[in-house]
Amino acid sequence: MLEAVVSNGVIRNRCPVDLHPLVPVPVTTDADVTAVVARARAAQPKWGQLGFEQRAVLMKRAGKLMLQRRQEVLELLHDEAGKTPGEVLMGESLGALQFISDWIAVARPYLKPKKLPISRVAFPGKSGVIESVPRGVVGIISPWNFPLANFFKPVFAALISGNAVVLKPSEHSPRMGAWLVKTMGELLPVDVLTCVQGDAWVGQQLIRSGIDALTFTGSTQTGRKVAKLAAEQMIPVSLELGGKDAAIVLADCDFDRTVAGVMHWALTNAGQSCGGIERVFVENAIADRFVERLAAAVAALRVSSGDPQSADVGPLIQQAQLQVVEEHVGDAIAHGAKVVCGGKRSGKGLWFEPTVLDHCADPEMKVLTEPTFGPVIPIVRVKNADEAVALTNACDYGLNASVWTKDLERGNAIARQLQVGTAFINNHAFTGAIPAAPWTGVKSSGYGIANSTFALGHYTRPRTVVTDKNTKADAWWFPIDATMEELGHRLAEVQVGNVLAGLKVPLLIAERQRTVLRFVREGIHKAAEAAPKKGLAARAFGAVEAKLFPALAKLGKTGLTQRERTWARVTMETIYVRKPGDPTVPVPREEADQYVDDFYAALPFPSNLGLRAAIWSYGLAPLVTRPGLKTLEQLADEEQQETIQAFAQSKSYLVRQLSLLMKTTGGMKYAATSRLRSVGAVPIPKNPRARA
Amino acid sequence: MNAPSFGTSSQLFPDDLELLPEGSVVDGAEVEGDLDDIADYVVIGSGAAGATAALQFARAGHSVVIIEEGPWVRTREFSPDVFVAMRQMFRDMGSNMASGRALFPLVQGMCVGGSTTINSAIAWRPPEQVVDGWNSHFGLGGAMTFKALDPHFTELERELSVRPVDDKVLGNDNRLFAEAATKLGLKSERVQRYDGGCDGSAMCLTGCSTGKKLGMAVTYVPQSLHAGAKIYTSAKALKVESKYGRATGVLARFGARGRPMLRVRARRGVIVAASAVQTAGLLQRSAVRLPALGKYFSVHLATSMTAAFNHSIGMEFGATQGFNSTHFVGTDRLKLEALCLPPEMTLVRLPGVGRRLMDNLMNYQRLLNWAVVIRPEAYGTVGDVLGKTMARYTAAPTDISRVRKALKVLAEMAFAVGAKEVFPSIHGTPDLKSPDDLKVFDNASLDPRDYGIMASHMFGGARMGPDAKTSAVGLDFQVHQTRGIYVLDSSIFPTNLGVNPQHTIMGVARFGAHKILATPLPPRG
Repeated sequence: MLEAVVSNGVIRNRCPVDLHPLVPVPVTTDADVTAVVARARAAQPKWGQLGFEQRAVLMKRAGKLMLQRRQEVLELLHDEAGKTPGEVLMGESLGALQFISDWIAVARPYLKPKKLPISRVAFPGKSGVIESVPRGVVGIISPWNFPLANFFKPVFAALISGNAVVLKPSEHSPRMGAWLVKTMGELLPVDVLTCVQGDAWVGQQLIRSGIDALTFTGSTQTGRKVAKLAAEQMIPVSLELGGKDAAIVLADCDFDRTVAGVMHWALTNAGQSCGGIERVFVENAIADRFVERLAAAVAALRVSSGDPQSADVGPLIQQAQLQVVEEHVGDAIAHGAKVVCGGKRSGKGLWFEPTVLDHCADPEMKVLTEPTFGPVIPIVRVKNADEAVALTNACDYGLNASVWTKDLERGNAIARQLQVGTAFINNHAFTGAIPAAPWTGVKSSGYGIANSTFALGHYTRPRTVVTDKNTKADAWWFPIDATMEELGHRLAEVQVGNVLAGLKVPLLIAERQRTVLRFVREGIHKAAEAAPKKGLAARAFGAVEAKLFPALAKLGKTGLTQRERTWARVTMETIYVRKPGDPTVPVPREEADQYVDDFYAALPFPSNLGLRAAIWSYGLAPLVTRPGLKTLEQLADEEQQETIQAFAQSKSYLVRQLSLLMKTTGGMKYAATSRLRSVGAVPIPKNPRARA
Repeated sequence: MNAPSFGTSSQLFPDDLELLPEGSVVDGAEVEGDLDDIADYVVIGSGAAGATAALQFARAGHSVVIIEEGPWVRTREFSPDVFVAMRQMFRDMGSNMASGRALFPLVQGMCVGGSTTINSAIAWRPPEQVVDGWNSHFGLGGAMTFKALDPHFTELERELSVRPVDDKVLGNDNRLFAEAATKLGLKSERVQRYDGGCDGSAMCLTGCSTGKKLGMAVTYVPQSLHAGAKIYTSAKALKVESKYGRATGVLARFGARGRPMLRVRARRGVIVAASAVQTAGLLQRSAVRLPALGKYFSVHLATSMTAAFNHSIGMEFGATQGFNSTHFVGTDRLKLEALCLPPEMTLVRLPGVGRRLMDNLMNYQRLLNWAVVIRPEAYGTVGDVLGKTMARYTAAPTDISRVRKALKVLAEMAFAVGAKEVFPSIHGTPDLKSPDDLKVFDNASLDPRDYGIMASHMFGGARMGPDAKTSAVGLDFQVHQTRGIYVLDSSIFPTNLGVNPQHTIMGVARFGAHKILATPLPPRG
């Protein structure tokens, strides 16, 4: 029978090492939760206005203070979590200052105001700045597995962004959270960092108390409820939930180092880590050897002496978790797993012997599907890497995974197939201590992102301030008239590549700007109705147009070069000649050139430019459709045929249209009339002029 | 002026210069200085609408000047060579496009007679419910009912010898179409045409060189000139000039920039009949500012399908279009037609290039070609951009699915009469070897860019209606908020028709001209 942790407004914990009772902590009342949040809100503006650098200085000092008082942390974590001093120093306490300094470096460029990129042509006189402003009061709910370090990711990010923070530590580790608030609070302004104590009910009260954003770290089951509650309050929530991390051990791994690495990341913090290895996939080739060495190493770890000072693996932190671990191991054995070492409780406290389970072949067993959160290493033997990847991805969780191999290239390739937030090669999960690295997962591991600039999007919101210095009206304002429509059409034409249509755009914009203001001054549609008078600019444009367009048309009429004629002739011969054994009489070269010239000259501008484009694209087609720097006429007959075939069947509509143009061009004069008549294949009616 | 070069035929055609009243034709290509003229009515365009209207005014005793942008290509000058025909008589050599998701060529005649010189001379009256729909749904309110148009249609049919295609000139393409339709149980009709004794030369599309197709250039234009009208050819109307809100005349230019100008003053009015593509742009250039001008532009979309047989078909003989099927007009807004194409145009429909293409073309004798015209639901816009008319048109997905359905029916028909191979002319769709392959149509692309579609009949852009906000032309055929500018061509049609429009255009123009003649002139302002 589990004893209730929270009862009668008091939190009662026992030390997991020897189950002696700890000093009770009072639960925060509902009214006090509201009051704490209200005080935090009152304190936040000053903290926000302090400026980034000032906040950075204060937070660094607070970090130093936490390091100086590390002895208090060691004692508290021994009592609340039964952790060994070495593990506490390396895993929790030591990170404080470094974490803060790194967060400052990550956040500094992100939080600077940024200029809004805005087109001066489309939006004249307008400028804007995008600022990252703090959300206000951020609530942070954290679990018990790392009673101190769990706070580093969210608390420092929220504070450096200018938010006030209200913590709700787990009811299994209330004292560590209170210590953090007290220690940092000595250097931060009053009420900027506060905490409330209690169980799930207090957590719910915190969410309902009017906070502006929430970060929840904990189990998937609770995460879903929290997300629902946050949605009701319409506040953003960042969820960082459980994991079921896999290690894929390949036959070519660095054997000893892999054994050591897998053992550490599976058993660190007694396995109570969201980023701990909970599944090990080993290739058959080395499985026997691997299990043997791993079991030997695990069995040699010290536990259960009753004194964490002389243990490698500490006890579990809470009673309920110990029951889960026992249940998982029992379930695995029932499903055919073999216990190689460990597998049972030990000592007076919440100790569990580090366990290696071999032959976990049934993918349904709990130890492979649900977070065990204990010192258990299930081994799954696999045929090859592909099977391991498939099994890894078949899981409902996707926080981290690691591949252990000497072939780094292959390791990288496999890593990219894994459906996880972070994939490691030859290591695991250590990036949780690096603020620049996103810590996130997929599927049931939650959609939150802790650490990195991605996380700052949760603790700040963008505020855009736009200034318009333009003294003229905007061209798209009322009234709507024909000029506006023309302007719209021309802007659209410019975007689809008709540059010429854009020449008049500045004039139309100027006219629209005048019209809008005249409309307001002179009233009802008078301005729009008045006969359009041509201003100086419009007249100047007319003059330019009169000169420019004939010039362009003339350019379009410039005769074809010899090379263009050759390309056109070769194209037509390829389209219209039957090789080999073509019974038709080839058209003489000069005559063919004449056909092309005739056609080109007859097409109106700009259609003749289209023909020119078609000739060029055909002439140069081999350069893009086949290797070798050759133009069409330099290819062999068959290659010419293939090239043109490829063009006629192109996926591109434009190319097909060009192709059709060439087909028509040739068809009109070259093939249909001359060639067909030359073989008498088609009795084309004679011209009546020739009849008499 | 130099006399045009005559062909060697001893036969005389109605459009021969020597048969026309002296001085009634001014060839703009040969004009060397600016010209001024004056007439009661100035008609812009000599196509189905312009020529019909001009004849009515001339017969009523008014002086009329017709301004035509294209040249007058005489019957004796017609060549069976498609290149020559397109160069002389097609606007921009057929390269004028409506842009949108895909490019649709806007095929229009640009010569005396307009598109009537290069079309298949099909004379169908419009569906009664379409015309009456204009009255009930588009605010015409009885201003132009089918009943009112009826006597005009009757008169046109008499004057222009409208009759069904004769058995003698049916040709295999049409005959097989009828046969296939019967086999599939589809309703099909013998086409009615403006037929002056067709020889079955299958050359409608390049200008009928036998002179038997009764287009405007050999009928109403010469008749107008005999009745006292005058025509300026190769003269592009730049704008309608107005003063105090009243049309005073037309400014035109004989060809490209820098060529001499023509100014014709209009005593009574200017009749704009420049086609649905050109009219809106011309009015925009004429400083007409109406929100609906250039909107509600609609078309008929057309494409065709070629099939190969084991035996000879011979598309070079027969009526160009002698049979059609209106079976699906009511249900799917599409109309199937037989269509004989000359080899140059058939080429575009044949798949592949090189040996494959030539093998197919060498089989020209054994090919037949059938077409589909659909009545799309989409509207586009048309208007003047830098002096050139630009049209925008994107077909609706339902329209393309109708084209696809029609091509499937045509392919089924072809197989029903023994086709060995069918070229579906949809990009990415293989050639069909047997009726079993018909299912490829069900999964064929619906992207308009994968079809060889052209816009064959154009409507709207200056549609008729009572309200100046939603229409451009009033119920009296005058452009809203102006006096003396009348529009009589298909640009006033509120919707497309579903059948070949020449007859409707002529009927409406004739009706409109009589209405204008019957209205007393307003006092001069």
